[in-house]
Amino acid sequence: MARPARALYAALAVAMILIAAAALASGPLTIAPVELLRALVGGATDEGVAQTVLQLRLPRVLLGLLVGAALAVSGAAMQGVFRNPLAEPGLIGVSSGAALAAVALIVLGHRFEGLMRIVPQAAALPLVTFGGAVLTCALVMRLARVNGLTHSATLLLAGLAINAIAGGAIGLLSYVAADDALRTATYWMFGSLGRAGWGEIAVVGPFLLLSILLLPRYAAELNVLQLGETEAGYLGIDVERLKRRLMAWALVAVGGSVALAGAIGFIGLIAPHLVRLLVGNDQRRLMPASALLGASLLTLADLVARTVATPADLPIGILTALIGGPFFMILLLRLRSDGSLRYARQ
Amino acid sequence: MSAGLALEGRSLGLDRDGRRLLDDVSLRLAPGQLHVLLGANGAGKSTLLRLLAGELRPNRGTVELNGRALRNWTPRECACQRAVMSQFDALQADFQVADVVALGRYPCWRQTVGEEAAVIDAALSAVDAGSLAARSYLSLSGGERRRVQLARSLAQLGGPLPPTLGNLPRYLLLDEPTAGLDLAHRHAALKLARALAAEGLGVLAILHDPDLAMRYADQITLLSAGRVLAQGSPQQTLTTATLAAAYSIHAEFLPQPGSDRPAVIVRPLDSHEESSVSE
Repeated sequence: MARPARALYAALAVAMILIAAAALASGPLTIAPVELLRALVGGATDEGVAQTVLQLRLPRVLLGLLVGAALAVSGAAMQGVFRNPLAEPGLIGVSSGAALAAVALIVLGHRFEGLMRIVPQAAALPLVTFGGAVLTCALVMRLARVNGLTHSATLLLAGLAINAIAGGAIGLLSYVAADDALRTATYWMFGSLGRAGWGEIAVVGPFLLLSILLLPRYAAELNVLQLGETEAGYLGIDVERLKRRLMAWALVAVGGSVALAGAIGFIGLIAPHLVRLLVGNDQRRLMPASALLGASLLTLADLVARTVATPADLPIGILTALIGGPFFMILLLRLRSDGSLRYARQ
Repeated sequence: MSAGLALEGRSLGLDRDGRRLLDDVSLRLAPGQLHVLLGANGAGKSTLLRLLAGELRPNRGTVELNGRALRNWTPRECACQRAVMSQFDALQADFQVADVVALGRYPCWRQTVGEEAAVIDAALSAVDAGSLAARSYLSLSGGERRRVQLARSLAQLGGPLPPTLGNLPRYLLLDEPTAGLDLAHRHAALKLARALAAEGLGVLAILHDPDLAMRYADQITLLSAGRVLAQGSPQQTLTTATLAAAYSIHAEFLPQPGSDRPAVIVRPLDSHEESSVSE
């Protein structure tokens, strides 16, 4: 069992590196592989090439890898905690809750100047998106849990309601705000990898990396949790503590991702489900493989988003939604037929 | 194995929403015994099992596991010494059957890969499910799933204990292990429970059939409305009077050739019999 998993990791890692290299090389200025390598190690012959690679494309590619991996791992973790294959930060409204918090900070932040002076500018946004993610997640969990059961339909309906409210509120806020309001709303609701630079990545990136590395450490416990919360308790797991820790790190991943790139949907759904087809439900393989695949998928989507209609830079969430929506429908049909859409028992 | 160790509940009481679910119930599950818990629906059987398992805390009384209060063991140490198969099956994610059984090994003292695989194989063959090992769990029938869950509980108690726990006896708590099983597998499950007891496990099983209890149990506790109605050997506890009081049924005992245990045959009480019980 160990060897096929290793082969899969290797294949996914190679794919990820190739996609990242392609993303670094492609754009208005096409860069040859040799030039690219030179630029990366600091020996570029052309100053313009070095500038393009190091200042424009590298942060964007790194951002895609980090955010893609973080969203995919947190999706896998949430599906495990809720014991529900449809739990995904975007679908259950947590991403848009975080995005609303970000927009609220940007539009209304100047009214709380006193407070803003205490919190450093660069830390305020990620802190607020994390807070937004935590609050919406608490709300969804409260709404979806009836007598200790998390009902799939209720979970999705709660997510639907939160997505609608957050979308409306973001729209409203961007109208009362300044001139480029519309563009800002689109950015937060659909996401983009083109906004954050090295500075933002340096502040938030380590937290994303931490959640990507720490969440898979709970994989064995998460497997046991699939037997049911009572059974996991009988097997010596402190279920409440496990759930708290997993959700905390998943929300760090989602909040951090939204702070850097807005609300990008469906990666947390697509990556784990594709990996599931290959390795099954064992979280010990599911989470690392999802991270690698999520990183590749988002970087690839971003490559398409910025090259398909050059010079226009499409919001990446439009692409992930166009791919993720039909994917979600297929998943719904499959789950409906095998009965897993019924509630998960305590 | 040290003498006198057991899983023991003393004078247990539990109240929920002002209702007395259990009152002054004591039960001693000794290693090497199959102890059957009987009683009508709502009599408190599952509640008692959950108290003994440590899932619920009693309002009154204490639970002791191998000579130490249950809450003084860590959850992990508890899980090494007792396994529970509950009534419901909550697994919704698809796993291979062998992987489901392997989840039972989570709290255990890890051995080599080969030894771990042997524990899992042995657990599966014990429940006659060796052929299911590579199947997908969600493709199984309800009865097959019960057997796999039983194998998962057995795997939890397989292999050696961690050195810190030495050679303490272990306990298996089964909430309706025969529910959903066909007639042959019902008897197979209880024969297995007896065999496990013979190997030194203390086995507690909630059953609904007095005939199965009479046939297989070493000890029986008969609960009624949260209290112990009768406790002791099968012949002592199961009588026409106790079964009428616990279930409102009429029981007859047919001697079996070659066995000291009679078969138990039941029918509903006639109306005049019912009135005499209620007095």
